[in-house]
Amino acid sequence: MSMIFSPIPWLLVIPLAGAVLTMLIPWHWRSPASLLGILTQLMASLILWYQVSHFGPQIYAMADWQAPLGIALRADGLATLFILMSSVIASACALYAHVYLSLAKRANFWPLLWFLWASLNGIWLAADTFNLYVGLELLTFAAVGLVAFSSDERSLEASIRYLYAALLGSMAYLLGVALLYGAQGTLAMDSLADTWHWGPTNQVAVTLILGGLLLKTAVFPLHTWLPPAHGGALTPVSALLSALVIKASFYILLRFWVEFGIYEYLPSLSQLLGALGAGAIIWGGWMALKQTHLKMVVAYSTVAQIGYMSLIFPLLVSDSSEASLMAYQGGMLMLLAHAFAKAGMFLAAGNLIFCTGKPDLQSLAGMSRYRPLNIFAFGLAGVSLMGLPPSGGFNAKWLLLQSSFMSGQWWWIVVLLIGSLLSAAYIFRVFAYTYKETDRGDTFNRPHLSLELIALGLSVISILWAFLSVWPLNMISLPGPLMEALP
Amino acid sequence: MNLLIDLTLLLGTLAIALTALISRSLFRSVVFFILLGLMLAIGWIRLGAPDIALAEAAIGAGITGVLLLDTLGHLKKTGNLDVEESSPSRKRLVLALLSSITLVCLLLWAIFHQPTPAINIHLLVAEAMPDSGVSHPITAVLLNFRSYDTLLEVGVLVLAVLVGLALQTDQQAQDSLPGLPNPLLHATLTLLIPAMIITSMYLLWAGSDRPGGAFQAGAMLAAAFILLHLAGIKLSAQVSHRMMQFGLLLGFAVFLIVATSSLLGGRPLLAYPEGGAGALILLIELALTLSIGLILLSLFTIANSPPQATRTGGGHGH
Amino acid sequence: MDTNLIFTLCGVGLCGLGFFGFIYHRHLLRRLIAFNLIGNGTFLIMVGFAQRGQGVTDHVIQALVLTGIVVAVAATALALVLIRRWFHLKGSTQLPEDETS
Repeated sequence: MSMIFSPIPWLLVIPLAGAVLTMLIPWHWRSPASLLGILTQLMASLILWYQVSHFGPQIYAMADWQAPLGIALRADGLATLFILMSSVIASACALYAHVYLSLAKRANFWPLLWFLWASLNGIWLAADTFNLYVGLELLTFAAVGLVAFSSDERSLEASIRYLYAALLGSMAYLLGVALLYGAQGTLAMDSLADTWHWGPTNQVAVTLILGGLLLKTAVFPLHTWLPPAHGGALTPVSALLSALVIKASFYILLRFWVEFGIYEYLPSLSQLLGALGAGAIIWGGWMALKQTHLKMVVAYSTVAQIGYMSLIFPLLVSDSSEASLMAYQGGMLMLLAHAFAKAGMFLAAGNLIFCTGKPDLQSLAGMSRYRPLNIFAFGLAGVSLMGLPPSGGFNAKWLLLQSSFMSGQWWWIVVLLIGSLLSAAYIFRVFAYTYKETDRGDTFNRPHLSLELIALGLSVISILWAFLSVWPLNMISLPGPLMEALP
Repeated sequence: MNLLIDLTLLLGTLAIALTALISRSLFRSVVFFILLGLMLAIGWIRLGAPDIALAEAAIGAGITGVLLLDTLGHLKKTGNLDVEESSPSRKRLVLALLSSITLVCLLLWAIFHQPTPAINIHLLVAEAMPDSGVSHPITAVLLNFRSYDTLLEVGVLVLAVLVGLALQTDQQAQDSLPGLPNPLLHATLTLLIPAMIITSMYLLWAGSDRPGGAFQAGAMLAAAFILLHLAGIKLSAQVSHRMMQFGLLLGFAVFLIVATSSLLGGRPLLAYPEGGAGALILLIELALTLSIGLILLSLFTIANSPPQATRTGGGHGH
Repeated sequence: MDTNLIFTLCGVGLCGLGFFGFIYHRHLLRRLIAFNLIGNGTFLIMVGFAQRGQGVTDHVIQALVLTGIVVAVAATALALVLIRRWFHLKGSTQLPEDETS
């Protein structure tokens, strides 16, 4: 099939050019230029979606050199879904930031956002292990910059912790890639999968890559850097980090896990990952219950939700291919629903903090009367995170439950139930504070209506996945390297 | 004989690294770290990688070393250098020992069970070399076969400067170094700087058929800029802020424009037009050299200037 | 013992030392030096191990190491910008001990 126009290169060129331009042009031009860039990004994502769903997955040879000599990009169903997801969420966060940040802050926000977006798209499309390393570093630097630039003491401390953890993680990943290259002589994912050789070298390489990526994804117990970074950043940044950035290393891990058949060869490692996920669900939920700051509650909830996604690894290992497929679908739907719900929740939380002027839960008193729309947005996102019907989170958990039943791994059902109870507890706890009465009267700041609407929009989408989940599930089940490697 | 050299380098490197790690004096740690870079440069030559040797000496030892030393100077000035370090706990020591021993054992196990690689990529490189537009394989890999990686890598450099600049929002940040008023230094510099710039240009030019290239040339240029800076000749004061910004971004922008122009010509991203590869690679490298020099200089000066008084709370709202 | 193997082992040693230092030390500058040791070790392993397998000089992996060195210096510079600010604000050369989080 000859493709006259492929949107793949534009998904990288536009954000990179956006980064350069927004560094060069005067401050007041940066927002309009970025808004234009956002539109083209959305358009390119939609075109890619159309092409992939109609004509099947695409391979794009960078610089016209075929892999393994050159670097290939791959757009299968999974990659396309992630491109669309990050386009919608990044656009929403960008619009939010445009209203929320002061002109001076905004001037620096735009180039960082564009670098972040470029690296995300680069990672979703990457099919080369070393290219993924460079993409991960680009992502790390942009994310650390975004955390640090709120320029107070706490966020500085958080950004240093984040940078050190992320650097160690990427170095472990690179060491693993070095071993794989030494053993097989290639960096391209497809040729690695074709010539995969389960010897000691590859086992150690997988261990190092796994360790590095777990650290970058903040999987329990390597999560300690996450809450201060996500909770301490400026609100639109928190939303971007929790919704998209941690997903990047998780996505790479999943691709390695399935495409190289690690789950088949090392099932005990899969169980270990599941156990870490269970630890994350319980510890993250418990810590979220104990926090006194609103954004820290939301940040710890991210730790717990990463745990749900990790359950995909043990559940993929099953005698029935249907159970494996359900685990894959459930995990991806969980990721998608979480991305929207968590972005919506962070933005709603940011609005509430803006209203009260204080970050702690105590000051939320009276909020449900003064800002019902915002509380509604927070609540809808909460419904999806708890996994109550109807929501994307519920459908995802339902698939994971069914998969656990079918593969006979009943212990994960217990974990899922405990996790739901814990998340219900920490979300209702926030609500309890907002229903308290206060004598402050109408002394609250009033956020711009658009800020509340953006938060609401994202939360509504996380609910809508309950009715539309067929669409992303079909999307990720389109033929592609990952689907073919599933049992 | 060669084996003896290699083993000496091995032991020397590890001994120097250990000293850099556990020396009580932070200053000595940094000096030994720089020394390590120079040892490694010899090692790279032994490994048949003169390009990396150049980069290691210029960037790994040179620029990183200068950055670290400068930070030490800053610490000393603010009286933080000799602050009593709370010695790490026993728990930490055990944890660190166990993890590092595990890592070493795993790596050794992996290395001594190396299978024969199924793919011999050097054959592919040799086959594609005639179409690459250059005759030095490493330059061909960096700027043709895997140019996408290099594009993103330059993005990483630009991003590091961007984060530095974003944190240092004060435009009139005063330089903390008063400059070195040493007439002998100035005299040396008037000879040294042109020599360094010529070397840099040579490295750039050599990159097409011999070891060398934009990164090594850029590092050499940066070294010249930093020496000038230390001698009190501030490049940032001579050139306007805007010009400086333009220079920082020039390499990345030229690279991106060349990459995109191939799209408009109906070719895949970053694919050079037939017969034009050599010239375009040289153009990109020229722009990259200047930008990398300026970027590395900026990374030095950004770290160098004191941050503005902090505004706590972070600017919210509109 | 050929050169490639010796320098691969050298890389393993550097990685081990660096990893030890990264966990053991609390001084941010010392941890940064340790990170650079891990980086240098990784680069040695990349080239030494690949060339040992291929049996010839491998230009692809050498080019990747060049990229790696540049990324590492960018990381070091970024970390220095952040930790200098931290020294400046807090007058401390290390992060506060982790609370049980």
